[in-house]
Amino acid sequence: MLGLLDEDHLHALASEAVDRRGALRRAGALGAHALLTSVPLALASAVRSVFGQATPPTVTEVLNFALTLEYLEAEFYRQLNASGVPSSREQVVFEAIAAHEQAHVDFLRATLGADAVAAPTFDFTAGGLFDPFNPDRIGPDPDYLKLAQAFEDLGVRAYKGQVANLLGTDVLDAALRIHSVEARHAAFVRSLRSFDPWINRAENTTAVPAFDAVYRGEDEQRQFVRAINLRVNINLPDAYDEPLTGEEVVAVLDRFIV
Amino acid sequence: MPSDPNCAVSHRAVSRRRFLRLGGVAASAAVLAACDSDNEDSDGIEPEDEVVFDFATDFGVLNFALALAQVQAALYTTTTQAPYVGAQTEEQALLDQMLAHENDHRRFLRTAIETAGATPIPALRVDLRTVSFTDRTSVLTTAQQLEDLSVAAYNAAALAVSDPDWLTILGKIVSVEARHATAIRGLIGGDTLFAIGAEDDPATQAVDPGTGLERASSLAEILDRAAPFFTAPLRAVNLPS
Repeated sequence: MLGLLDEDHLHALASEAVDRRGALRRAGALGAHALLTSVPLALASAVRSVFGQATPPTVTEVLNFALTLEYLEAEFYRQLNASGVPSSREQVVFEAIAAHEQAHVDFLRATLGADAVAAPTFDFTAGGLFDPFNPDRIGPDPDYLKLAQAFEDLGVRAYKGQVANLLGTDVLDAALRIHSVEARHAAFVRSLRSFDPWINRAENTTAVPAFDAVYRGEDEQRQFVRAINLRVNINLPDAYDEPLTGEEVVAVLDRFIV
Repeated sequence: MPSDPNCAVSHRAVSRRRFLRLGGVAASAAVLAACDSDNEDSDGIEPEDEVVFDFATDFGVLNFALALAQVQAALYTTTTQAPYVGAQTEEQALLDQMLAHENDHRRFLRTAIETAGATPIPALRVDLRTVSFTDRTSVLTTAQQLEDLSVAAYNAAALAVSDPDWLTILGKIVSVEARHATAIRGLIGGDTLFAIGAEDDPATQAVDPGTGLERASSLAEILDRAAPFFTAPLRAVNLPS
């Protein structure tokens, strides 16, 4: 979709999105749905503020960012479970995971109300890079498990990167409780692929270069508490999952949004 | 660390106190800072000494997290040193890593609390007498309870934190605890709904099937569930409402 990492492009689009949102408010409920169907703009808007250098994103922007991620996960598992690709044993668990992700979507949409972004259109082949739902293409290390792992590990880091922006709000509790569920999902999928349930250093066990960014920086050892000038190093990075910024998360998601 | 004379003195001194207030700025606990040890067998506080976690400061939260890491490390230390009957190489490798993770959480939390000028709890005396360490089910079920409890504890405790960076740091640890919980659940039940905490049994279920959210407990409930694993009584003050 959009070249979101191109800053000028992004800012131009985001400004347009903000203008549209302003227009949206003026238009009221009548025009709301039509205007928000332009999902890339809505996403760019949410992302711009998550990127924001000077000011932290609003709660609405953080939740729309989370909603976009949940849309992706829910749709991924919906298509996966309809594909006939997973084993029947796997599918029992994937149905439960799909239900969790859909519940997250429902929760975030209900919380956001009229401010909720619409679901983007997803392409889980990422333009032909993957073939996750093809029953004829299930090898020993199938794409659908690589995608599931990357999405779940990404989700853990994405929520972790936003919890500080939700400090003191009513939705922090739910965000934390989604975050730990994503970690349970991630660990499960990693185990299905016979990898450790946790991330070793910054190892990208999908071996897909497109997912290097999901694991980059996972081996960070420096920990900071800026308000008290505290810096402490940890010894074993595997024992800690690191956050990603909204920008880093969207750069990965971008490939799967049409 | 019995070899540390200061530590021995401070433990004797502390054992005479009715309350040991941790997490705040109470001077009575300050002498313990130098005595925290990686050795779970070192003399902890006497059983009659109450351990108080003061959630009025972020350090109360961090000390509570440290206490949970201590009991998990104690469980994994014991079971990796003397594996249960029928222990497979692969699951031992997982338990070894989980021990290393918990030990790193302990070191990091203690160092962070100290470096920030607050007082970490000492190595608390852990009570694992209910665990039959020769029995795989007993060990793994206890591990599962502790990992699930730890996830719920971090999720609840994070709501009491006031600094955004501490909140993020707690987030870095809780997701690894959730990964541990899944690993242990997988060892118990294989690749099933149980592994992701989505089993039907509400007594053990980790994820609410209706909301897809981690099941939550209040810090008071979590303290009650953690209490049997420590010889000292635990008490929380200034819990978030």
